[in-house]
Amino acid sequence: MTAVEPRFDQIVHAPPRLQVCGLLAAVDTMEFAAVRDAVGVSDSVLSKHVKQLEEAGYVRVRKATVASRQRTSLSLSAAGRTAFTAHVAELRRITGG
Amino acid sequence: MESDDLTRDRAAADLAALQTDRTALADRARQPWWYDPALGLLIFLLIGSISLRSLWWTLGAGLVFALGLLGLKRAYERHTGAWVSGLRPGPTQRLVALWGVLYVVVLSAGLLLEFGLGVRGALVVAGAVVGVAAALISRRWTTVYQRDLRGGA
Repeated sequence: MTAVEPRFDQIVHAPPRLQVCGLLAAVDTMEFAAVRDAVGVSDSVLSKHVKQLEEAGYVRVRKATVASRQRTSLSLSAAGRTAFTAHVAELRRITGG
Repeated sequence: MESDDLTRDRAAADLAALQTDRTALADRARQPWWYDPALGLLIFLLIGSISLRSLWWTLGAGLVFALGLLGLKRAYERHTGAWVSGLRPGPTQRLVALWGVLYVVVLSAGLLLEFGLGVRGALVVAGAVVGVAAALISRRWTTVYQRDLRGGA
């Protein structure tokens, strides 16, 4: 990860959202179900947090129908990636890491 | 909550949780065994088809190639629950650059031999070389990506 200005981000900070951003930062897109399983929360809880990230412009939600099944995939926007990277830098600054 | 309220222990716990998730993601981020050979085969068919010197065969191979890549992407997404671009920033880029150079050199040599010097089948050999390289590099790419994920948030 390149050096960035450490910056605390209230939206990213909450544990489920931090986890979601961490997962999405490592990939291009991730299925909603895969994120849900990795984070270990229910569909409704994840939806609530994804909605907050989406409203902040940090996460993009894409719905597509594949083989007559609707699949929802999530991705981190450029703004979300910047906010997450800065937040992680702030965590590192605090821990002295 | 502001950054000042964030304790050192909480920040350390957050970083540890992120790393745990990345490690778990690394464990899942491996394509099916047939993914890399299939990718190599598609590239071989596309390049090798030029040797047939028929626009229709090459267009057909191009269509198979495009549909095949789409199918591979879907299969990867179904298998891992995620998609990650081969061109992502990080240590994996060196492998993509290596394959790119090999592709240009071998394809150029194949085209020169096939059409410049009239060696029939040179592009079949070039396609095989580039296809095998793509399969091997794709497999290696995954190993490097997994190592990168396990390396730190």
